[in-house]
Amino acid sequence: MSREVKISRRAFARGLAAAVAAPVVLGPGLVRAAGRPAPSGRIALGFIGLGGRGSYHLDALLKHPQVQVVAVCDTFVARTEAARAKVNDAYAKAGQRDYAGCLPIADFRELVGRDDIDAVVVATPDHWHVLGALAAVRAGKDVYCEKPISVAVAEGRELVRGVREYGRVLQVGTQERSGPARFGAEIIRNGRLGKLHTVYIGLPVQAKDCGPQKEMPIPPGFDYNMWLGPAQYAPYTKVRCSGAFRYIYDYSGGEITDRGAHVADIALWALQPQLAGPVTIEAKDPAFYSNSLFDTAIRYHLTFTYASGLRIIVQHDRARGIRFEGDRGWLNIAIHGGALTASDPAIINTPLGANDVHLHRSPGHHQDFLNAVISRGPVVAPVEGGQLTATFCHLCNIALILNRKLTWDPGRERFVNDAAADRMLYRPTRAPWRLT
Amino acid sequence: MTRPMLLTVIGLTLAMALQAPGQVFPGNPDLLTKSDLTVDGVFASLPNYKLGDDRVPLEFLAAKIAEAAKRPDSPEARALAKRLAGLLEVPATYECKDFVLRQLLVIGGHEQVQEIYKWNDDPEIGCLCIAVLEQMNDPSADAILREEIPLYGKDARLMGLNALGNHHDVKIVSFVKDLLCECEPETAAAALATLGQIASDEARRFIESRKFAEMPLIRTAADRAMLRVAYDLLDRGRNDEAGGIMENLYNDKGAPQAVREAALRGYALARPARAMHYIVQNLKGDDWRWRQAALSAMRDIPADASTAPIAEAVGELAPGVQARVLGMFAIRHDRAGRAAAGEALKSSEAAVREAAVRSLASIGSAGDVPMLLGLAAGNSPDREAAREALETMQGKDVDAAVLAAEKSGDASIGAEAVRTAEKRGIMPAGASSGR
Repeated sequence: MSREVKISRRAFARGLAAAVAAPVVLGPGLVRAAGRPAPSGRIALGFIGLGGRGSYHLDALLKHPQVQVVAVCDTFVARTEAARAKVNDAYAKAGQRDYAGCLPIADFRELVGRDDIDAVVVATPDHWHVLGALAAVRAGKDVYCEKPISVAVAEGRELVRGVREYGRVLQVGTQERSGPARFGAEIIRNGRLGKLHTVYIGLPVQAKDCGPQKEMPIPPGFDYNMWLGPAQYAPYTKVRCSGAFRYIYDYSGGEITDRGAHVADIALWALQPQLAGPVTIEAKDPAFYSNSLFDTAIRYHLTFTYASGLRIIVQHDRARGIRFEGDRGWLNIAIHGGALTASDPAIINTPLGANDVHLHRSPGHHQDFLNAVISRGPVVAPVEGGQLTATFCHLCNIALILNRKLTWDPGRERFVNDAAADRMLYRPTRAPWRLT
Repeated sequence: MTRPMLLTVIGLTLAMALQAPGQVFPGNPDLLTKSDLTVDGVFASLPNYKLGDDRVPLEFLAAKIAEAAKRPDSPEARALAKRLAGLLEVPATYECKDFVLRQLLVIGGHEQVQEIYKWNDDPEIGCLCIAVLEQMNDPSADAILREEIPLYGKDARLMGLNALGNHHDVKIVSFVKDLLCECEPETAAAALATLGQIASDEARRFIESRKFAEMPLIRTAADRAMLRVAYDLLDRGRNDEAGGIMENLYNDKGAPQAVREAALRGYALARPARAMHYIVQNLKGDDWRWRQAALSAMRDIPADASTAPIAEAVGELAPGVQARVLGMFAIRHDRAGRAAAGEALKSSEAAVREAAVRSLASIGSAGDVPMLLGLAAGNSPDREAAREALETMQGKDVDAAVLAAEKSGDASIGAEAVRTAEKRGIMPAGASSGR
């Protein structure tokens, strides 16, 4: 069976290289040999966004021997200061004599403009992902960007374009790809289930409704206008600026773009060769949060039908994960953790052969990113894959809002003869922010 | 297509465009039948709506509007649109006007364009007004965005420029040329970005005119816009023109480093043979960032272009760079690097040897199997790399070479071949694989 590396050379050159398996390129010797020059000999990282995910990445990368955290940035001054103190404390304990101190920076544009930073972690609220990542890319930085990469299809397309044109590395924070789910995707790619006919994606909504929320005074030390950024102005209320932003369409897309960005990502990674051609999308009986600050979907049953006849069904009333069904059996991939179950144990117990399709083998999501920063090679979760997944999630939301059958042309990234739906593929950005 | 048919198509397209909400809450259809609310009652209370108030009346009205928008030319739809626009004129909360503008996106038409536009300079809702006009994607909205742009307030002007760039409105070019002066640098930078998006020959001339602007913000915007134009030309197959721009940007030491690096990559795509010199030069240099940029450019050299000059230079590079270049040949699956990998196997640098061994998994062939088995069977520091290369190298001929080596006179190589065969999931013909 042909391996993914037989992708056309032309496609490779056009920037699709990131989809190619490259499991053996960067050994530990090369990592050591290719280290950055003095003073740190490490990859200098800046952090934009220090909430839950940003703090997680900071804690993990702070311990990493190849990394030097040199600057941190958040709209909450207290978060920025706490992160700076944490970084300085960690390096002091590690006995770094040449460490100049971590810079607290209020404006991310200043951070990405610094010459002493090689790469940036973007872990902002979702509506900032593309603008933050694009600013970094255009300043010549590599980027680890949290998922979903965008809040609209068109802005994701702009990010793909920017990453390619500026020749940067971008790893999307879909870390399931670096875990056991990869083998599940490889099982599908190698046709062990025979001809696939149905794939179920379970995405239960678990966020508790917050109800209506009154306007509040903006707390001191919080740059609310910067937090809103490209989103339209809205009066301040605390819940809006918490992790619950995910359930407000202006900043995200609900469960579908949140955990959906992980679950759908693995499904699409596995199915990618079968997704060519137009696809129809139908939403059944949608419902949204009501009388609440939240406004995203809470009830959904969406069916994507591909040219090959393959159907992907997205449901709120199914356990989180993916079930692939083919004419030779089924496979379940649980998210998170990637636990596999199948109709026949042989499906998951038989290792891959050398000539089977192998997907990019990541040694860990952070490490994979750092390897690519050095090698300039592919990452396991490239921006193109992030765009494919985010687009799928956005199409779900558009179908739910319009509540009618849509036809999507994946080649053109537009709906077929549907100006109304096309209009929902992008969001205007509030001045002074702009995508280009 | 006849004129009546054309008008019908335009009419249908417009009608469809008017049906859809943007990123707005679509209302709650259940309320249409279950609620005792009335449209008049909701309109009466709407100006006082504040964040945190009961949203059910808004959901009811949104559902009514969504329903009416299915027939955008109906008297009901037009009356609702007119009533909504009227609320922009009366004292009302920001939240009310936000709701009204978002609903006008659902049901508003060109009759509302002027009514929305006239608030473009309003400090509270100006940006949202422009956003609605942008997303309406209506010819009359685009016309007003384009033709009135010099009259806008600053923020609205930035948004208008973005909108027209997003719409690839080529007519904007002659309207924005007066916005390129340095008296308002943010506007000039946005105008240049818009011209870069449009990327027509006329737009390119205006961008070039700002190439030597004194203000760094404008200069950078002009360089980025030119880069975008060059990539657009590349997409359209105008490689020579694209290459010329890319080479100029790359060689322009006044341009931002990131733009120059991007231009090197673009030059490698447009004129790979001529870019080879720059790539090798940078790989040989001692600047970390430029070496990395050269590697990125090497990654994206079209597959049908020769990378032989890079392969020939491998031996002259610093060990760490040699290792990464060999890695890049592997990433590209570019067999032009095979001979360089062979030479690198003799290197005294462990990292170079390791990279060479690993690269063979991608750019090697069945002919390399005996050598790799030899390394894997011995006590060489490259043993693990050799084993991994043997386990992952692809091809039925590789399988055959491994099976043949099982009969080697050297017992350790024979044992290694057996181990490799097992790892590769292959068994001699006639044997049961158990797989």
